[in-house]
Amino acid sequence: MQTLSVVITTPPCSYSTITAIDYINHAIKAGVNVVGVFFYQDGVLNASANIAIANDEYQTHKHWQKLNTEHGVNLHVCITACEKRGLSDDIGDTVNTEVTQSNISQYFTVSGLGELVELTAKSEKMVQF
Amino acid sequence: MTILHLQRTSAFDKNDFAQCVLSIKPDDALVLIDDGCYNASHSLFINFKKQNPTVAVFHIQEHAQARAIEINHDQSSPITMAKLVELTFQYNSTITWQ
Amino acid sequence: MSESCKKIAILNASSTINQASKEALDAALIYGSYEQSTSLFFQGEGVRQLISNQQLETVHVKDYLKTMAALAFYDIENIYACKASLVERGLAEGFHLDDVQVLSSDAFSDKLHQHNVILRF
Repeated sequence: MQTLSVVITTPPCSYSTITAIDYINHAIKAGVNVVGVFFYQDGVLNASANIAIANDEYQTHKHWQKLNTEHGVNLHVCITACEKRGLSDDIGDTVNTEVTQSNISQYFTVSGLGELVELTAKSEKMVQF
Repeated sequence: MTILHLQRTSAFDKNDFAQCVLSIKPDDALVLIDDGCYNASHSLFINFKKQNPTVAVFHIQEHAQARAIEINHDQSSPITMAKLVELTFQYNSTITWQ
Repeated sequence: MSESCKKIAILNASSTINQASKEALDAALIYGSYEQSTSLFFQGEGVRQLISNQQLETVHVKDYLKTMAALAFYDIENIYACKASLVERGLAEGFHLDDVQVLSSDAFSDKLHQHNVILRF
């Protein structure tokens, strides 16, 4: 089976991201094993749990969600790139310091650049969008 | 080894395409996607085609159509996104020019 | 770690004072630290990252260019710059790195073609 990884560096509000999602969906339809998607640079913003896009516009975040839940595509975000853009899975609660919160969508896996190296090794092709 | 060049930006706006054309070898292929479709009428593309008539050039049909761009099929072959997936596996690597 | 003998190219196309350029270097260093065969390419505005005497801290940007001195430590020894990009910008070959190979567009592209994965930032 053909294996593919995709690197995303464009934010959720960019129309360029729609093309990436379209490409991944076509790869899945063609029977390609999409080993993982790695979100880097401004691409990590796709992992925000707080994205709201007007109903009559393309629901980028919902399409990522669907790729994860319906097709089991692993969505990895680089945590270093996330944190400098305000996304974290370790937000301290000011009242109860034992509790941490996350503003990263549950459909995404918090990873590091090591995962990019892993995906490179595990897939036949790596395509950047 | 061969490279599939994915050109996503317009040379009317950015200079990625100027670098892309310098990097294309005879057995590579060029795909115009997104705003990259606008390059079809840019002098860089026209000169590239003159100098490299045998290099495979494609554009995503829907991306050109969405932008009301008419591309002569002698200049570039229209393809679907499904075909782009196929092409990905026919070349050794890809470069995304964006 | 999965075994891989893939050759990785990081193609730097952004100017110096740019988050994308720092993050590109971070990615290159990680590939290097995982002992992946990694090369750095500088083309277009990317060649500006190689020029000596830049003072990033003057504008409160962390001097990540200093980190490039550690590239050899990560076994990243193949560093290529596009001559046409330097000439176009009127830049002399005064680099803060020792082992930069300045190549013609053709030779630069030949080197790119020797890599299995090419990421451009």
